[in-house]
Amino acid sequence: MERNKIKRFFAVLIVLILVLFLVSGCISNTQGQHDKSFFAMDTVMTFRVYGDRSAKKAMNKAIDRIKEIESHMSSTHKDSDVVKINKAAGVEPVKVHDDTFYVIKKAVEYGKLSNGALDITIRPIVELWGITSDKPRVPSQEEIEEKLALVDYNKVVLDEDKKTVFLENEGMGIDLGAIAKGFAADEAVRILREAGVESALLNLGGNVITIGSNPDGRPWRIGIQDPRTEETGQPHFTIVGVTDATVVSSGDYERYIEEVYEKTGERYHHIFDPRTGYPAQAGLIACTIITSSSIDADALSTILFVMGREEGLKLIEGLDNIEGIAVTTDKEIYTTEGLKASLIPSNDNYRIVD
Amino acid sequence: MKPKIGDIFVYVFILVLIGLSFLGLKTMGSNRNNLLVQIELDGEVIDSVEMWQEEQEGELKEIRVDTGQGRYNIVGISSQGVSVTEANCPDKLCVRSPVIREPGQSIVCIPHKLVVRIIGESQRDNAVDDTAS
Repeated sequence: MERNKIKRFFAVLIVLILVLFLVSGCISNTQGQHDKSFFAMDTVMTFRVYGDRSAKKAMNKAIDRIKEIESHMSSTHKDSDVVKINKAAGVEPVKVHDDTFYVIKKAVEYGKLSNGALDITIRPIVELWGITSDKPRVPSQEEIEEKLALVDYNKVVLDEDKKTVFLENEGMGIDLGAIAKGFAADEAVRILREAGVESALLNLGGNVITIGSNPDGRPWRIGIQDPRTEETGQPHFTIVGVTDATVVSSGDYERYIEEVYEKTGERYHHIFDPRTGYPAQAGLIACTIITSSSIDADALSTILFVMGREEGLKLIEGLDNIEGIAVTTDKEIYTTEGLKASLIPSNDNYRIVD
Repeated sequence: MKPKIGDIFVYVFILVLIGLSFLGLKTMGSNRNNLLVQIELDGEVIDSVEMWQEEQEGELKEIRVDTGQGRYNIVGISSQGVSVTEANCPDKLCVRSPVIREPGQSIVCIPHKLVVRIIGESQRDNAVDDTAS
């Protein structure tokens, strides 16, 4: 009798274990991890999406959408809206795709909000310095003044009904580099969410976008690049935990004229102050925006970097649900109120200031 | 007392389960220690190399990656980490990129569409899912 009981006990146990195996097998089948990395918008993008086959399909759809946005907003694609607008500067308005119109309108709004700290008509200055080209150089003051006369976001004429964009003066040009990646990220997130994706981690050339939380249920842990990593030997200056948020950084460490830096220690970097025509020098080496919309984060990280910590953080503090981090040349970290209690430097080269 | 077939089956099954769980532990353990250097060209993984362990300190392993039309990058792996030691791309940003050593970190050569990525589980407490830069 006793023996039979033990046997029955083991039989039940085995069945239970088998069922467990089956169930766990099913779960891992439906909740797969889909990874893809690809080049678009002059940078590398990495997608990690969790979910079943429909999540993978949505991931590919989102990637196609990004490539479509690139074809409309690139400064180099021959038939892009941006190239057409720049060619027709001072001549005639150009009919553009709805998404291009939306992004330019948004950029002009941010131009007004920041009093010109972000200006998409910066292109003549960008081309003059050529920081991201093969032959970057420090131009003369006269050259800078000449090109600066062409920089003015108030001279971008938008016609909402006809969906046309017109640059008033010949020689003007727009560059959506500071904002198009953010729009692309928002579109990718929209497509993934519509397909029911509840967990994803996207990286669009350094702009990090998260959907939901990590599959373990904890917030995503996003390290923020140490702007002086070659000095400190550390990859991050802080780590933030986020869900359903985007983390976008700007800084003088990404692209700058290496030859000049080696000789003089001066960093002529790629983020220009549209009011001076020189790389922004507002006392910051890096800054970060954390919020839900990527286009906002993209625009505001440039604005914060150009405005500097006092003016920039004040502007961000006045907006809803947007947090900002500013790192000064003295490696001091300033943040908006919402981050003050929670932010901890991940290496002791940096110091939080209240 | 003579053991019955059913009993033997149960014993064998339990032994197999114990064995399997050890195997599981072992593979999980080795994943932790062995980081992989993954080399991708235009989004496709073209090479995957184990990161060097401590006993190979001081040595440098170099992998030449031909990215087409005479273009190349040389990926260097040492106990210090991974870097691009040489390349004939126009901007040389990959060569100037800092050494990477943690999972999730990567070096990118945009003109050659090359990504060098470290894959695996981090052993550090402050491991991150991704880096905003």
